[in-house]
Amino acid sequence: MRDKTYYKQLCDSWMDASIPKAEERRLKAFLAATDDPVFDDIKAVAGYFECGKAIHGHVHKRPFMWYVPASAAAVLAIALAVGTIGTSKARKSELASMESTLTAFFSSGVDVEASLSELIDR
Amino acid sequence: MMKRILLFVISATLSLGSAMAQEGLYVEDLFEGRVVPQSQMKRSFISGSSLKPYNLDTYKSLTFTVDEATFHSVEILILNDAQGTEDQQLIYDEGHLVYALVCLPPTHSGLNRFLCFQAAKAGRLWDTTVVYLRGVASIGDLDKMFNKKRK
Repeated sequence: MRDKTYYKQLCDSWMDASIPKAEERRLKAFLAATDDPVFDDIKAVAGYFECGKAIHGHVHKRPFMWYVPASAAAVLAIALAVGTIGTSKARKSELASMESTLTAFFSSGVDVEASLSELIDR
Repeated sequence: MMKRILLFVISATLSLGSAMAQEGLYVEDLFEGRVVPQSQMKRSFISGSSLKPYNLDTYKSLTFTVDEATFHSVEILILNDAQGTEDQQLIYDEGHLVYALVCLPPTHSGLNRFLCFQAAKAGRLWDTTVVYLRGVASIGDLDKMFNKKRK
């Protein structure tokens, strides 16, 4: 019969996911039998996982054939996002350049306001 | 084969659209690179929805630096396009055209068209900017948007 300290150490190892299979089985057997309130926390966690396993059974793995189109779609989505951002930045730069050109033109140092007003008033 | 035909139709449509942007204008030669080589020009062509806030659908600008003889050819193109238009503003400096704002006849679909020209002498060369605008915006709208002196 091992002592309480030993099972506490097993609990720590189990929480660290560094416990060997044999010791894990031993710990589970101990937890199922003990009423010591010191182990209530670990029993709650272990119970939670056991309950999850019982409900969901085995983990469903996605068939390999889905990985190729899924990866391609992800790459495409990233490429499109990067492309859109790049295009958007380029377009913003072009529009800024256009505004600068037209502002320079319409606010030109040449005194065109009078004649421009004449054009506008027509 | 079908794909090639489709590609040809799309290319032809795009080329036609581009060519028709300055349809019937003398400056078309300039925009097509027949006066100043395209490699020597800074070109900016924008069209479509991004110009919607400005009430424009086409913006084309050329910026280039040329010698006196080439500049004279450009001047002639601008003046030819200005000829016969009712609304135009031309400013000369020492016998050279240095500023032009020409309200071109509207398109068949009623879009306004403008030709803007600005030049400054830098030594023996001329720094020149030519802009073609098309859209529903009037000259007044453009002035309100871009004339910072008025604000």
